[in-house]
Amino acid sequence: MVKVKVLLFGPMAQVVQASEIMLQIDEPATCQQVLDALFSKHPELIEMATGARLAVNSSFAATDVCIHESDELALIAMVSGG
Amino acid sequence: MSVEVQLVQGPLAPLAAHDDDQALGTDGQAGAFVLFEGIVRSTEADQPISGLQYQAYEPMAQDELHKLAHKALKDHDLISVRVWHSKGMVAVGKVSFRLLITSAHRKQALAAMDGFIDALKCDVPIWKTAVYERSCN
Repeated sequence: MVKVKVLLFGPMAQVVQASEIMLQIDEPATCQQVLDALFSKHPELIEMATGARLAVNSSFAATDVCIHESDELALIAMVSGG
Repeated sequence: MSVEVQLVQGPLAPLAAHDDDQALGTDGQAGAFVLFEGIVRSTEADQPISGLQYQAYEPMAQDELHKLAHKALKDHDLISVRVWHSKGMVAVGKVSFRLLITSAHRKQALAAMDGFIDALKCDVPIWKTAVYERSCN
């Protein structure tokens, strides 16, 4: 198992009332597995997260990218800058 | 060709004269100077607000702004792209976003401006939350 922390921001953090979520993922862990685990643990995010992407170490990552415990993960959805 | 990106705490200060000069350069190549400023409106969903609270995921926000700026430079053959974005609280009426583009001809700068802002709203991890005025009732 890989323990990962996913950072949340903006409305995603507000709805979960947390700025980070800890998850345990079976190895080899991919971004898609992280997203699946995140939405399973917090289904209230699903509706808001249409088109959501995972950033790994501050860069957008494809869903098949493998992740490691030392990676910094962030859920990027509903951005609203400008 | 040049790019500058800044995330600034709070509202953006008015554009200084030297910013205009720096954008235009001294070589006489710039024929167009296009400036866009985003200003915080007084209402959100028809409710009065006192301002917007911006949250940025740094340094990714900086990196994505740099990528967008360099892409705009290349795609539209621009001379310079300078972008400022606020983080933290910005009150109603204050500037929270500024994009300044120079190019040889106006069509390049105008096209780049629109494309940059559309991409910003998709790819740059910055979120805003309305801060509503307190009711007196």
